[in-house]
Amino acid sequence: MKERFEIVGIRPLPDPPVRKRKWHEGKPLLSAGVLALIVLGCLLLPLMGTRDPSYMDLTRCSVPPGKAFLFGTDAMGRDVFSMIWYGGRLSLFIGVAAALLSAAIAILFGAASGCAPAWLDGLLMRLTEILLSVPNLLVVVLLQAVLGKASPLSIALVIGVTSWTGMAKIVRTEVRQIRASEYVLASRCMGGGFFHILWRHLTPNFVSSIMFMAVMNVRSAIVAESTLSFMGIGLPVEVVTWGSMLSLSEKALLSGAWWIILIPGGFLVAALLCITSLGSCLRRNINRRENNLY
Amino acid sequence: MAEEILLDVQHLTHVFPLNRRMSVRAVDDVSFQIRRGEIFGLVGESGSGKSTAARCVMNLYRPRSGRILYKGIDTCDAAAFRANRRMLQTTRQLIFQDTSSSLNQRMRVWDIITEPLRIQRVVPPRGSLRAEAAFQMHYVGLDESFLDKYPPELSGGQRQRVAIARALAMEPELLVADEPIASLDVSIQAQIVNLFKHLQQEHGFSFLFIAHDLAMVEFLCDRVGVMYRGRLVETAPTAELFSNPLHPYTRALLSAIPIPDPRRERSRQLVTFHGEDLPPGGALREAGPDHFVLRSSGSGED
Repeated sequence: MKERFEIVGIRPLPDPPVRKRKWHEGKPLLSAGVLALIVLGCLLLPLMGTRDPSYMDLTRCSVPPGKAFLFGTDAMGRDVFSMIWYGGRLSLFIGVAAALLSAAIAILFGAASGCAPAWLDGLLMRLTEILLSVPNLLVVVLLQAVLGKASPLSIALVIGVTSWTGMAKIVRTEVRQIRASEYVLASRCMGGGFFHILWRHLTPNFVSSIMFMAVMNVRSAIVAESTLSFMGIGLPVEVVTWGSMLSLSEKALLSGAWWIILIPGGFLVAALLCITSLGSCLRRNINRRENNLY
Repeated sequence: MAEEILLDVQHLTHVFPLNRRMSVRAVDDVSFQIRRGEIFGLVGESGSGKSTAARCVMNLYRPRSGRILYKGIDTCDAAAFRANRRMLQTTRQLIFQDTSSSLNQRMRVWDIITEPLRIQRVVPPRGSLRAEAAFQMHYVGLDESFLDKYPPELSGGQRQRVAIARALAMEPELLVADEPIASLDVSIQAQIVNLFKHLQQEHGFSFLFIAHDLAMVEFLCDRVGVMYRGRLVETAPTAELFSNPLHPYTRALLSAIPIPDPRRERSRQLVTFHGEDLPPGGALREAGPDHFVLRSSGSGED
């Protein structure tokens, strides 16, 4: 009897085409590029032939953009092009400093609360909830009034001190989970102190979950500074930031000088969009890396 | 006894509160001693309080009552602990059951092994910390290619070896291993137990070995304590305990060991033991040389 089927061999299948990911795929190149341009512009501003941004030339106020003034001049005759770069310097500084400060407070406070016994943990968390429930603006105005004359440093301080509560709650939850794990117990048995455990064991394990928030805090700090300046309780008009430039915009609206609003506004929005997109890309990458670990 | 007693646990009791009214006596009036250079096994079923006892010994839990003397120092006494902190932290080391959670996933192997040296700011005896890690890894049977790996890249047996290397990095005098082989395959278990035996002969540390695998305990330990529902029911030298079990629970436990021979396995008599058979109270009485059995205070010798 003849076999109905016989195996005559295995046909080699062609390898499935492996599409190599190009190096730039899945990376926010445009955002990184634009942000890098803005940051570089702010850092290298003396090379760009800028004028003194605080020099007021009242004979040439509200000049529309043209040859002499690339972005025009504002209602007080200051060169908007120079102001953009000088202001960007301060705005970005305030954003980064405030975000760093709030992250540091959040990590310390959250870790302390997460490691504390139940009653102290409850107390500290209720404290943050009280802070969280007071309108942020109110606290900022209060602190600013206490600190006296606003300077970029004091603004960064005030914004940093008021924006750590949400992050601290996340840190505290993560620490609660991590501190029960056996490597923390082992480290404690070996005599590791609070800061050793915080730095070597806790932070590396929760940093991914607050990374996104930390980057977003840069953004919200810039926004907060702009808001404060716009409302006139932030930096004075002669200290140039993107926010204080916008504080002149209600007058500009009436006089139809669009460049005074649109140009700093455009830079602000562009910078914020870039930071947001970088932040969300960071979060995606970290999540992917964590999943690969298991 | 001529040998020095390294660890002396006296009437240790630990209670976990469940809520306002209920609580669990996880460890109830447990006393045992570990001599220098001895391997003491603690066996019992799940939830019998073995791990809790070990964690009390390592100062991770504060016992409700009782004393734990380590080299004559009461480690439960806060002042005595503080005065001898460095000695207690360097000469006692702990190995856990679950290696995936006892090693930090975000640290490299050599970082993990040298962590105790870093914490105690010990000058590494072999030059650099990295050389020290390589030496310890070689000692537990891993080669240097693992130095820069992360724990998730290793297998369970390799991770347990890393954990052992970390514990040995401080040259401990007392090693407490909380079910160190329970999460491994049988073939790897044998390797790790052999490693323990070898290391113990080489270093001469005292060893509190917690397990529920009786065959491993019989192979490894010098003396064995049997725990049941938080109480120590019998302690004896290993050979004595396995040949002449006195307490009914010990007999039931030993009768549950499977025999690798189908014909004899079929005729194996299972002794059963119920919790009600264990009367409350009672104390350990000497039943033979170095052999103690829990007897209720009312009943006499049987």
